[in-house]
Amino acid sequence: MNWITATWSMITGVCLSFAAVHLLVWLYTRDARENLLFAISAGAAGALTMLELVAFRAASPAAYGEALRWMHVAAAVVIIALVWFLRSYLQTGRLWLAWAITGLRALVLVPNFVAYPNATFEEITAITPFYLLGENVSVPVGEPNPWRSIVHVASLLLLIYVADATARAWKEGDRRRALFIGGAIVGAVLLSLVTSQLMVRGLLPGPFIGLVYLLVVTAMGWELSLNLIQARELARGLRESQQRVELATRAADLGLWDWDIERDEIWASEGARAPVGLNASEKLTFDHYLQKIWPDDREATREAVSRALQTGSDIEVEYRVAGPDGRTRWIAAHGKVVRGLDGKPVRLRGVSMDVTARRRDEAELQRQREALARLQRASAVGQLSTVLAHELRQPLGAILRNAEAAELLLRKEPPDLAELRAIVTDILRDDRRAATVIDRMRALLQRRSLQFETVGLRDLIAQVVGLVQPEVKVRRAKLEFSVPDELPDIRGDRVHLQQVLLNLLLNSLEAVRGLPGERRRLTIDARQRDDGQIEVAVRDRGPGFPVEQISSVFDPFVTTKIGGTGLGLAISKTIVEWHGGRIWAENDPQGGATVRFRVDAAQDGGTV
Amino acid sequence: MSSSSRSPATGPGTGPGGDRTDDAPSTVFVVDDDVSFLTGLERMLRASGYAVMCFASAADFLARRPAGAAGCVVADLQMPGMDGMALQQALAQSGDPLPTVFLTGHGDIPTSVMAMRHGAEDFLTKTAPRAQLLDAIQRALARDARERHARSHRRGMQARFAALTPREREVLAHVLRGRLNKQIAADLGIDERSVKRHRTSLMAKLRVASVAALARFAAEAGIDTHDRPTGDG
Repeated sequence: MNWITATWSMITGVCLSFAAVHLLVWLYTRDARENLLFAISAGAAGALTMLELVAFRAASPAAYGEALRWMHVAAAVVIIALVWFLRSYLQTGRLWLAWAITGLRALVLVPNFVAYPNATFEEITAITPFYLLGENVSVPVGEPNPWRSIVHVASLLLLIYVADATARAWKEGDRRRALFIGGAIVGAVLLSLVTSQLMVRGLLPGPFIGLVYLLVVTAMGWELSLNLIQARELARGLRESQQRVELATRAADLGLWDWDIERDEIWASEGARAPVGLNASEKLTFDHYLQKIWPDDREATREAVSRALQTGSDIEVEYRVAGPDGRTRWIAAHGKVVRGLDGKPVRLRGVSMDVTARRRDEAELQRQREALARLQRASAVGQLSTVLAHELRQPLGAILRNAEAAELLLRKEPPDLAELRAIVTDILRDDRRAATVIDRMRALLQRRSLQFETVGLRDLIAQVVGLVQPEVKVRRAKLEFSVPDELPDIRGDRVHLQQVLLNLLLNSLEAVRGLPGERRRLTIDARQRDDGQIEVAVRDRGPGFPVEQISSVFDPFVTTKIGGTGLGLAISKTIVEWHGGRIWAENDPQGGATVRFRVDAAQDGGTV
Repeated sequence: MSSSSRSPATGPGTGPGGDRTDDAPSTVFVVDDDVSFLTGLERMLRASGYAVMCFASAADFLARRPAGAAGCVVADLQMPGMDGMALQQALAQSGDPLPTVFLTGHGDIPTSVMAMRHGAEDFLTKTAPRAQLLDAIQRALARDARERHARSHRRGMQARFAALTPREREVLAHVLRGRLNKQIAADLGIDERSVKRHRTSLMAKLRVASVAALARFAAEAGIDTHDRPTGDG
């Protein structure tokens, strides 16, 4: 064993070790391109060093020439891989230079294999022994190959390329990397230029590429060590930040979750698992989690997720689950889609929260609002009750008189059957008339919660007008409505929408009380706006709203009427808002007031 | 709406006066804007033996009612246009009034009080029992007959009074004041025989036999003699 063999073998070992390490890194994280390139480069450098050792031992000029030929191949791989590694690692470097170097180094391989013996020598005439570090190594003697100039040009370009990339990285603030990697490569290239010159002049037995490359490997090693230290610091910071996040999420009752879509694995924190009754060790897939969701909400949740994955938008869902104690819990989840390099969604991660209490409060509040609306509705219908009772007595009175007449006619012999038939027909008709009055009232007085359905406005308005018309008549006012035939349906609650119209009409009727006949006119107009929304306007020719009150008339307990509760308009506003619409009041320049509300047309756009 | 039915309500429908409808049967005039109720009521009243005429509005009734016809009105209180109260007032102001029974969908106390004060015969809900309704109609018809008789009687007396000459009226005024023939002759500047002749003539024209009957006639016919401007103040 001697120093040359030992050193060169060691260099090979170091290079191959680095190659192996970075190859492994690349195998684990496929997108780490620079690790692959460095592995190739280091592997080739190891091969080069080995070939150099072979050359040192060459017994003939032919053997030396053959070894040197293969060294050219290894050198080309080292340099090309290094060029692209640098671009990838420093995120800089001129592309045209990188390609030029790649092209030139590849070009050198042509004369290397075509000409004899290789691209460095035109002819190796002899091998002379050279005593180095206690060993005789072979040194070639011969004519330099003119093709060598390509190698020199490539090396020069490499120098420029590396220097330029280093300078740029330095400028961009990535100074440590620039200094170590760029500096090492520049140094290595310069050194290899010197050694190859010395070799050609017979002053060195070989280009000592391995030794030179050690510089790059060392710099890289240094970098890696620093990265390791950094990684450890990062890991500690991450742990701390994780603890902080955990503390915060626990304090806020939040759960964290992260769904790896490709592997279909959901990582979920304790806060996300507990409300669903999942223990910490249980493996979780998307379908598994979906099964925990109430069947009623499952499909909506699934759709929300697939919509988020398709559009990349944030996801925001609320759904019910059966909690660990078997009681229903409401969960609100908010997540973000994470995309991979190819733009495909790879993860969905976010937070979830138990919102059962809020939901319960909301449900209770809604129940109370509906109860209040029902009371107000009863009170509004109550305002009509006197007139409606009268309206009911008409058909009832007619039925009674007809029945009395029939009784008297039946006493006669023979009874007038034609007259009796006419009487029965009239009784039936009046019975239907009475039933209509009762039905209209009953429809508004029934106790029920919000039920959304497709509602035709024409029918709805006609029904309310039918209910209010007797009162309008008694007050000697006029009520007209116009609804275009092609007006689209809306989605809404029939009873509550009628309540809104009833309130508005009663207000208008009150507003025109005591005014001259031509001003006791009310109108309802429904139309579709250009933006597709449906607008309903209730107008009167009364004195209008007091200007200072026009913006607050929808607040509870604000009333412009003597004896008004101030709830009619407030509840109307609530109801319109349940329908996702808005309501407001206007004073008409010609006198009178208009209250308008707008709601969306039904989705399917069906017409009445 | 002609009816040949017997009119059980017709009391002493004829009076000694000159009314054209002396012997005509009484008619129930029903006024209601609700055609359904109108028809039902008409059937019931007819079946109960009344002569009935129906009108869908107060204005229609006032325009088309047979002049001087005996009977009563059964009217809805709430009607578009002219309502029941206005109809009652219009009737009362005409020279040919009729007692009115009001029907209403609901018992509205202030309105009913006002209606009664204005002389409505009764005030019933539309669903009032038949007996109650017929009773009210009966009373209204009786009242109409009574008032009609009184009216016709008064008209007769007024016609007789109108037949007196101016001098006879002067003499009448003095007689009603209890003056003796001699005093009258002195006051009027005529001789006593002439006063006697005028007295005999006017008592014959007024169809009275005594001074007491003459005084009663004057009271019934509403002849005011006290404030009549006379020569001696």
